[in-house]
Amino acid sequence: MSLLEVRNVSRSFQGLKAVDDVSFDVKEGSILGIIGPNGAGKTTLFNLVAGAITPQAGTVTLDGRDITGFAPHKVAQAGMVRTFQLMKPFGSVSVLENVAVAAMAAGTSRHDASKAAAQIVERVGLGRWRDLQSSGLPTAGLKRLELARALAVRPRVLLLDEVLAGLTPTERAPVMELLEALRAEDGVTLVFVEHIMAAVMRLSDSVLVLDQGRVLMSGSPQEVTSDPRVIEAYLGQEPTDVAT
Amino acid sequence: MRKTWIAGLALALPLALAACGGSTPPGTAGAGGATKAAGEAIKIGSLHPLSGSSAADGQQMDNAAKLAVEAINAAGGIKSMGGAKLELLSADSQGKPEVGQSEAQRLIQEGAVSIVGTYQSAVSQNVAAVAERNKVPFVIDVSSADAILAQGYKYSFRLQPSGTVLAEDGAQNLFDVSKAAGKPAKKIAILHEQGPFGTAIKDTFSKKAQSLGMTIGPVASYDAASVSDFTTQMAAVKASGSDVLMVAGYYRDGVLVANAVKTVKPGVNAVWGVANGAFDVPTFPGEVGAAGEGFFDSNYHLDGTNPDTQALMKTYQAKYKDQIRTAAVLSYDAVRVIADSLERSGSADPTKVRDAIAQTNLKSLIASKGPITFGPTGENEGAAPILMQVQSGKVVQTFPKEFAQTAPRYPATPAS
Amino acid sequence: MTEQIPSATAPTVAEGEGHTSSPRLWARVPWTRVAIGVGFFVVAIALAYLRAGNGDVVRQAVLTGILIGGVYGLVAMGLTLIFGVLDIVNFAHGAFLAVALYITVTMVSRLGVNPLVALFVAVPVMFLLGAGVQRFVLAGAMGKPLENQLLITLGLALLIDNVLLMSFGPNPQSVKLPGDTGVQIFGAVATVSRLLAFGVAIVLAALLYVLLQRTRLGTAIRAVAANEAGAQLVGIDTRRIYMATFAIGTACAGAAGVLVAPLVTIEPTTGELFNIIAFVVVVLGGMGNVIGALVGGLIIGLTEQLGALYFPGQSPLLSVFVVFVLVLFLRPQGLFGKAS
Repeated sequence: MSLLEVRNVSRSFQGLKAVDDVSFDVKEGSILGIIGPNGAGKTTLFNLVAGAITPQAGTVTLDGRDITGFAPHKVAQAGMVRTFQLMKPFGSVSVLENVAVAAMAAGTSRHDASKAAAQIVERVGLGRWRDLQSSGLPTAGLKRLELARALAVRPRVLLLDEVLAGLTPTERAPVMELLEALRAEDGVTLVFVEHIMAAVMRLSDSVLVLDQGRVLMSGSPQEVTSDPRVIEAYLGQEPTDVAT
Repeated sequence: MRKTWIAGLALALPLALAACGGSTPPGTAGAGGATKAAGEAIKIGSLHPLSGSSAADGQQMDNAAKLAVEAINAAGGIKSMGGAKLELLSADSQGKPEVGQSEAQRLIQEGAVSIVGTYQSAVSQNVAAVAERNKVPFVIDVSSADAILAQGYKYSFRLQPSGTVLAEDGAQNLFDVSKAAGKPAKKIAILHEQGPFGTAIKDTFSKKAQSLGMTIGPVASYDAASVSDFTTQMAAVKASGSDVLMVAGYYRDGVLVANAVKTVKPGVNAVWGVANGAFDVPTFPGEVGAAGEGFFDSNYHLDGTNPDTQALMKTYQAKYKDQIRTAAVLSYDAVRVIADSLERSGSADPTKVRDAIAQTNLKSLIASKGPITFGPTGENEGAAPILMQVQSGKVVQTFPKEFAQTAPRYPATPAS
Repeated sequence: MTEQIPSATAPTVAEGEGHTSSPRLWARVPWTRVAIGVGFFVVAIALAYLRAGNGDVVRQAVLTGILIGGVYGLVAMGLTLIFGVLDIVNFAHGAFLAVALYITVTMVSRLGVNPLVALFVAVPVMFLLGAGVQRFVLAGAMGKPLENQLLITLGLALLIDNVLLMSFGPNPQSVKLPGDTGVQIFGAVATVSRLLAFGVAIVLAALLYVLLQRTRLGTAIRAVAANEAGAQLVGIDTRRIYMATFAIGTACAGAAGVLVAPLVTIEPTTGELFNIIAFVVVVLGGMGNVIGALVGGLIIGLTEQLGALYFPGQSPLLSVFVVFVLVLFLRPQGLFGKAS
């Protein structure tokens, strides 16, 4: 049994099927990348799995537990945490407190929370700025803060929504290293939506390709990027960092 | 942007509450007729604040008007009109001028031949204009602003003494009483509510007092709606060495004044209310205890020495389980004036009633210097304030002699 | 959604810089602003002394101002907490205070107890009432336009006023604290009831501050105030937090009601007086900032009393208005507010 099982989820908006009968499995400790051209329904699928939108059909099962339609905070409590493209820090408190709040919400005692938060903050490379008011962080720092907060909740599955967007190539490398370390050392299972092919290639164990709300194919990164159907789906789109 | 908007909205809260107003009046809705057939009841409108911050007095006034109608009907109604009965149409002004205006309009449309009311000067101002336009007489039981009757209106009459009479007599009373006690008042500190009522009293009182040779100072004002403490003002009075403190305000602030006087002990010879809304009210001594002992109020007041007034007090107590206050007795008088005028005019035509009201000569249940008679502007020429004092925990009448239940105690330095 | 968290925090530090202090979950006090504020008042008091020419009078004004200001602060803290977390301007706050007044009156007249005992009844009752109102009346309006919420709380205020009027009648009532005498303090005088009101208000304010800063619930409340979606992401049940916050805010109004009961004439509309002042204090202190509300309350209290000395012929409200406009002109987000 896979850690995360998504079966036949569908969702329409005003008659338009944004996500149509999508299914996939994510094994514990693996990394799944979700790609597809613009408008393929990646973000909607992401939101359906994370609980921000309710599926009109299908189920989402986490570690054998049916979490379909759970409210976002309940999904987080069940062990699946997501990050946002538009980051949502607790702006007026420090980096450390942001992470500590998350730890406390997940059940750590107040005293242990600050210790746990300090460790996580070091882990994601924000140790230098841990007492800085989080609204003073640059984009790269905020991304790491989102990650740190998500980690503080001790998730089984981490859902990352275009975590590399807005970063320069130099800034991307350390984040990717961090994600690999998270999987290797902490055993975190990752599902991420991404446009940057190089990252997808490097990080994913398997890739899910969406097109017009439906699963086009799934397989290893090599299989997917050399499949003619996938290439055709991307033709007519602006090239997005296909080669780095 | 949003924050400034919210701040502005917050400060305009009272206005917002006013705009949200609009009540269903508790009074009977008449058939809205115009002419009176024989035997049909004659409608009188009673417009008072039945809700809002003055509801306590407003409800008493409406109750008293009802009692007056009942008494007149029980005594045979309007005999000159074949024993026609009176019917009271009650309405709630909510204490707001716009509501009072529309309610007055509605009462007239429902056939009221006269209106009694309203308590707040701002409301009475509007109702007087409505009365003049529709040529329906308006008998003011309580409203002190001089301006209401200074516009040449022919259809408005006022029972209570005007603000000018209250303030001038207040100064005169102080002069007479303090001189008779051998300690003539020299320097008078004034604490007044900042609205038109308090300011008018302060101005007229000061002028009269100065013409009698007294000096005024210090003068402090406050917002009756938001004030919560007077210890600072009392400390200033204490430091100034004034020998009398004059207070013009309402009930809630009057209570706070008494508390502050007790706490700070400004050492004045007397606390002298002029048209004060607290110092002559029966619940005042109970609420402030020893703090209010000796407080004076120069104010219009129900005449506790008049057997008819005493009978009314008993009836009111029995029916409403509450002690009647002066404002309500004025409403009772107002209905009496209208009934008496109907009796003399023999007609329910509002203009004829108005003319009869102008000829009124009726003994009042309020302590006055003469019977109720109306001068050319509609002011009651018999109206005058008397002097009350809190003695041994009760409000008693002390001056002039005709109404005195006991002698005034001067000086009356507030209890320590 | 406001970025405010109801507490005082350090000003923004430039990118890349950091402090190396130990990890603490305390909020930091903006010492410069506090110093400026204190300096302003020293000057104001000196001026008042010159104007009044009498030390006793100024001392009285300062004492009374601080004592009253503490209670204003407690009322405003509840209101600002509600705004900071739920983004609701609660026009019914004063009405809730009035409910607590009548609870006190009823307990004193039926059971003959000391009015302060009513705290133990009024605070839990108001807490539950606030929770119920938020859950059943306001929850449906969350996320809808601001005007909906304002109208609902306004309507609630009118409803409560009229229910109180019908249940208790319009006649003014009062309660007294047994043994209420004047106490001399630094050459000025204050009644025991006013001293107690101030003292208990400060204790409750401190408790509220500790709750917000040091407990899990308080941290969750601050997180929701800062970023609702972010809070949900970390597993905080925002609906439960809304309910708890509104309940706490209403409980503050309830506590304040019990404390001022011996000091005011109790009528159904008495709460409105505190409503207006609370709004001024909340905006002055920075909407959503709990420390700002307490400090703002003290400032307004002092301004009211000192203003009576500066402009004796004018209503002290004038001085309050002047200070209010001045502060907002210089710092539109309020003394402790965050620039938006």
